[in-house]
Amino acid sequence: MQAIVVNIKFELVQALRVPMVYVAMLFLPSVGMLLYVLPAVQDPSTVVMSTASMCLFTVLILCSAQYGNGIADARMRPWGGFVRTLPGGPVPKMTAMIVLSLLLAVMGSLPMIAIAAFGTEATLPLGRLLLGLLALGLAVVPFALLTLTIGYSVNPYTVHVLATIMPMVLAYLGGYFADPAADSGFIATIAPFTPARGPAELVWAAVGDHRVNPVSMVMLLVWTAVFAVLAARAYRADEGRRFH
Amino acid sequence: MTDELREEAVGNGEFLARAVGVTRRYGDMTAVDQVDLDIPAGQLLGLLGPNGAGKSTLINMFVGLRHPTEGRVELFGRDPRDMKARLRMGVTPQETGLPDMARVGEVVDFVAAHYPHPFKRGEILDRFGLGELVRKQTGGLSGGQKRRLAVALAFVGRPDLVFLDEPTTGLDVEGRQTLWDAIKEFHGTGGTVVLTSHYLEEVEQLAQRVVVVDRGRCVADDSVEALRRISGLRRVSVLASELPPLAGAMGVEREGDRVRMVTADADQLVRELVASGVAFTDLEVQSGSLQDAFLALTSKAPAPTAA
Repeated sequence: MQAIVVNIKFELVQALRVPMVYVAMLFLPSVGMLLYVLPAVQDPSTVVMSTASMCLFTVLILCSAQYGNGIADARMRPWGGFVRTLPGGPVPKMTAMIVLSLLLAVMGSLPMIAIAAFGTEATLPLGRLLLGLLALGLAVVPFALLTLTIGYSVNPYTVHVLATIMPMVLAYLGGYFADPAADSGFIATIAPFTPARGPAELVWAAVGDHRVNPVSMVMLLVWTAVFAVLAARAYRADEGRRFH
Repeated sequence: MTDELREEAVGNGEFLARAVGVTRRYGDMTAVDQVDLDIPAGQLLGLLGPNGAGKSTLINMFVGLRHPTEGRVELFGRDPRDMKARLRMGVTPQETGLPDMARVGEVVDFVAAHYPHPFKRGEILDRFGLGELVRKQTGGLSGGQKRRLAVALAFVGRPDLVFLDEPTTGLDVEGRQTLWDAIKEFHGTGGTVVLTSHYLEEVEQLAQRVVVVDRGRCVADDSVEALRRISGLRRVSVLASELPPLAGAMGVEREGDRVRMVTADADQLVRELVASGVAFTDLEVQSGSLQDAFLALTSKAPAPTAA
């Protein structure tokens, strides 16, 4: 327990001393909001859905950076190896990272919510907003497990590339840039089977009039289980940087 | 291992760690090749070897960072990845890679939180001469201070066994002395130490037992004195203006009138010297340093006659 608290404190301290890193990560979704969502969308309820999508996109980017890049860096640095020799195991570190993710998910969503609230006619009751943030927090779990797997199993130099491209691809395939209610077309057909879709449907259902697709929910459970197993295996097999 | 050392180990009751027939390959490269190594309680063991000999790979397997390709590594009778084994072990990374943004005190607290009975922050920092730096971010420390902090972290959790991989690399004389004192103090209170070093002087100063690793294999494993004896090398030096060639002298260095010779048989060399009838004064015979033994064992110097 003490190890968990100290790990959380350590992650927070480190993150807060270089806040610009996280500010930079919010750049892309914020620009997406300003350039595409605001001018194109007139209907307030559509604004709410699009804002939710952008918040999800933000969480994907944050998770990629935090777990993908963060883990890759830790594997490259002697400190990461040192921490692995401490008798804490992966739990305190993971717990700390997830707590930080949840905080970042909320903080990262605030700019999007602010843009929607002050820049458009859209409104949302407080209860629904909180429900939406809760669903967003849930989305951290599968995203974190996915990016952890990548962070631990891929060559650290490649992780940085993947962590940059992956959020964009997953968000696109998951239909974040399309109408959530669309029921035909390529994206609408494949989206329920992709890892980013399930969490998104929960967020959409929390903030708007969205009917959750059962296929997406089953796939959400399947993906979460698959990523959990892969992440645990990758963690145990990891030996840091390898040279051949 | 010599019999006396083994007896001491058995007397103390346990091997804290052991490697049994351990091989580690990276692709085609064999870093560690069929190594057997026991680490008994209370011993200060020096691992000596040239760069790339496999010392760090061996240590990384003991601390659970790498897994053997073949064979078995035990730490306190368990898999080194077992958290229970790690509770009693401390390690310092060879390279210094502390998190730049964190303060010295925070790093120590972070490590301490993983152990049930850690040292107090001030106590451990004072012991390593870092007491003044609690509030400083590690990124702002000098190279020597970082190194000392990295080594101090190995001791924070009151371990029974510490692995120190090149602990004093890059330290000045004073910093090295501080570390040596801390290591000796730990060992004096019953702690077990495995130390790798490039500095033979360091191993000679600190270690009781030396394991020489070369190309992934243990080429020697003995007490520091025995290793010096095994190498059988002596340094013979005299003041003489002129010397005939002597059969027993392996390396001859002249500095003014002082002539220094390395030999495998000092007695025979002195006899030869006397028999040659040449005038000399100030005869000195010294046992060879660990350096001589090391070079002889890793076959980078003329091999001494078999001991």
